[in-house]
Amino acid sequence: MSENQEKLSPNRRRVLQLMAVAGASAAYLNNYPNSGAKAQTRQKGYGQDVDVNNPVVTWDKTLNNNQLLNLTVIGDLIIPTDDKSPSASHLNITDFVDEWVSAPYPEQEKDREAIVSGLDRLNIQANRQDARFFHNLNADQQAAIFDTLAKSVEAGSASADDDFFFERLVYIYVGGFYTTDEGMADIGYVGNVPMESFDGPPEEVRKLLGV
Amino acid sequence: MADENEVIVVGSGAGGGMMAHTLTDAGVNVLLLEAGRRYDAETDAAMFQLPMEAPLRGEGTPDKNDGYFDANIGGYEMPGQPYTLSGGKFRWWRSRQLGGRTHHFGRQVPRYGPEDFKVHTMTGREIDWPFSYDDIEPYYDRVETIIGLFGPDPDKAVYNSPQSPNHIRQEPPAPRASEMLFAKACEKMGIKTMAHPTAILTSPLNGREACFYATNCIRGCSIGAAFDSVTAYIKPAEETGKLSIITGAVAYKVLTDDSGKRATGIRYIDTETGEHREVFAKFVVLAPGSMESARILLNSKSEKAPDGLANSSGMVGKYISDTMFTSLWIHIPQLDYAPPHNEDGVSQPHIYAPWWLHGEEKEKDGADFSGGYKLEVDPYRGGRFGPPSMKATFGIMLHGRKGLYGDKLKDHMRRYYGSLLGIRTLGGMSVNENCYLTIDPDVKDKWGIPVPKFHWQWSDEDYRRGVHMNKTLHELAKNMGATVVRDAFDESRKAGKFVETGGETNHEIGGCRMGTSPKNSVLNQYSQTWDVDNLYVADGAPFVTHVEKNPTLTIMAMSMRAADNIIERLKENNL
Ligand SMILES: Cc1cc2nc3c(=O)[nH]c(=O)nc-3n(C[C@H](O)[C@H](O)[C@H](O)COP(=O)(O)OP(=O)(O)OC[C@H]3O[C@@H](n4cnc5c(N)ncnc54)[C@H](O)[C@@H]3O)c2cc1C
Ligand code: SF4
Repeated sequence: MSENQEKLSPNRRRVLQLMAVAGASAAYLNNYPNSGAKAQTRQKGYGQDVDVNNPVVTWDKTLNNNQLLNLTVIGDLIIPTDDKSPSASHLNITDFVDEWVSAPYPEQEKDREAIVSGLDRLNIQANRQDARFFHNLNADQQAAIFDTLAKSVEAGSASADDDFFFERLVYIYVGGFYTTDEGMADIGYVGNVPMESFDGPPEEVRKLLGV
Repeated sequence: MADENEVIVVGSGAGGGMMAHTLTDAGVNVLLLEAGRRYDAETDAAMFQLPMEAPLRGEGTPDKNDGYFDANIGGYEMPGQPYTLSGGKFRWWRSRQLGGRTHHFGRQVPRYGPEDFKVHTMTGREIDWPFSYDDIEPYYDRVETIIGLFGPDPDKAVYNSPQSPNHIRQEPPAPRASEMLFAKACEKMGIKTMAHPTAILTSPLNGREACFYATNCIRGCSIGAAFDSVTAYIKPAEETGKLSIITGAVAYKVLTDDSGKRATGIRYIDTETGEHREVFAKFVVLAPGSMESARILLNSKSEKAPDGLANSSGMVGKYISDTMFTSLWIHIPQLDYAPPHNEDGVSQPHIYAPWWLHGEEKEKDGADFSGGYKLEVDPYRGGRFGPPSMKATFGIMLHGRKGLYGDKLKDHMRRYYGSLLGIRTLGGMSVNENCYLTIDPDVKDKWGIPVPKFHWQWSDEDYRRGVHMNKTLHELAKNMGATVVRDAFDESRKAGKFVETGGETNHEIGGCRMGTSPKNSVLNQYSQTWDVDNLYVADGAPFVTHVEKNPTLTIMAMSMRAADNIIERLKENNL
């Protein structure tokens, strides 16, 4: 992709607009030369007649290292370790997020734009605290920035971009995490096992429902 | 070889598979043309694979609309095979593979009831069918015997929703927890519930195994417990030695003799080479799916048939319809943090409430629309301890939960996974003249065949039915002790869609309706075209009215009846 095309990418334009608003230094673009890269790369989907018994991801993952590091931090803020299940990073869910946002389908392309530009906005906030990237901040600073974002989303005061960024991040992390063995065990999916007969719910569940 | 064919059947789905099966069983030589490739659930289905094993956790994409593992090749958009719109919104679902859509359909096989065949007599609207329930009943019995199904005790059937007799139907599985609550709520509302007639075996049949209550039927069933056309029709038909199959054959024109009154064969595209080929037989049966049947007839123009073949009535492509569908997502507080238990079942609803308002009661209620709708718990959407998937499970659980993350999010997931579920309703549609397809004068598919152009408009009566459906769902939710999390009807209306986009329930039928007169119908009661004596249509195109019962059992029963008619004529002519 040529320099020119890259500069014209919607992400780039949005970052520039944001910077104007935030009054951030022009050095930003030099610091993050890859932030919107490959967003426009046309990759191949898997087509309509897939070999379901040998699934393959037909596209390359496209997030850069700093984006992945940022996401790893955020993933663990969204899904932290507790006594019932591990955190998102333990199960490498960020890798799935990379697969998701790199996919050549409209829903995922839209998510990519939202997430890449959302990460850029978090970096701008990190800049104000003299860190180059969000992941360079210390854990308290990271948690504080993310919590402020979450609270503004909850209160409805976040910008439409931040709102969508947060919603989609949570959705993709939840989707990635709760479809793993550990995630399914956490919420209690106990199916996908062949049975002789289906006899209905256990007594204790019937009692709960009064049926 | 071609000369030996007595019947050419186009399409191998519900209608075409049944046609080939019945004919070959009677010793008739059949050539089956199928646009897609060979497909056999025994080897092609992915049953136990988890979302984790697929790209994007198996979520739907433009390539695979219903998910990576869905047993469907095609969907709403197919590269190089477009369609266009002349008004309203319509989406055309296609499956291009041996067995058609039967590999992934919901297997719900209710019978139409006696009233459903005489909507005109009942309401003064639309037209009646040219046959009655009594005429089709023996065919329902015979089809059900071949496909196998579970269903409710027929003695408990409600008015106008007849059920399969005891000597045919198999025992249903027990209801799930959410369905027991659903049944209790319906009872409070004076609505009866029962097992939903479903083409899934709970006991072995003809070498096919019983369901093991673990996987999703829309991915196909490699043990043969769920009915599909290949397992139940095409494989046995091949065993007779009477069936030849050409896959990768896209039929686009019915050939006729000089009189234009006799079909002589079919012209098709060989998808591998792009070559145009012709095959000939004594009879031609179209069963490529309703919309495609109308398309082929309209594209089969000739000097004798300038408006398309079998179209002297001008009715080809007219009166297409789809089932109305809407749902609510609800929260059952008693099930918060409920103990995990296995809710997979047969992956389809185990029970339902057939339409309950008739005659005076219906009038008293003010339900001013023809037919009605049925109620069921949605097996795919919401949590209810079902198989986790991103949009259908977690998307609902996160809906409207703004700013949630961290420990609170994890707690939220544990609390709601078993306590959110969908309740849904499928309703009839009042067939109207504003829903039709024509041929686009400009747009062609990748083989140069003109494509269909759809026009869609729900009627005022549909609107009233939709409002009623939505109202009942809210009452049902209340009686289940639930709060409403999401309302699909409301969301559709806000999006300017009314109920939903036409075609999106994937029950699109009509386009070659049958009737008592060549003036207002394309086919007679045996699905034979009025204009071309040896040409039949055996998919969903012959439908006259659209009720709340899923159409496929009736498609197959009519196909079998048409097959009997062909067999009789072959015998009579001593051919
Ligand atoms: C998600 C989903 C769930 C459903 N659930 C239910 C349900 O529970 N109950 C129910 O009754 N119905 C259900 N349906 C609808 C059901 O699938 C259809 O009613 C039924 O399959 C229609 O049968 P058919 O023979 O008309 O067409 P199909 O089954 O679609 O078969 C048509 C065949 O013709 C072939 N073909 C098409 N064009 C050509 C051509 N030009 N030349 C040669 N071959 C051609 C196709 O490749 C295909 O194999 C569901 C549908 C979907 C998509
Ligand atoms: S639920 Fe039963 S019928 Fe359906 S695919 Fe699984 S085993 Fe087959």
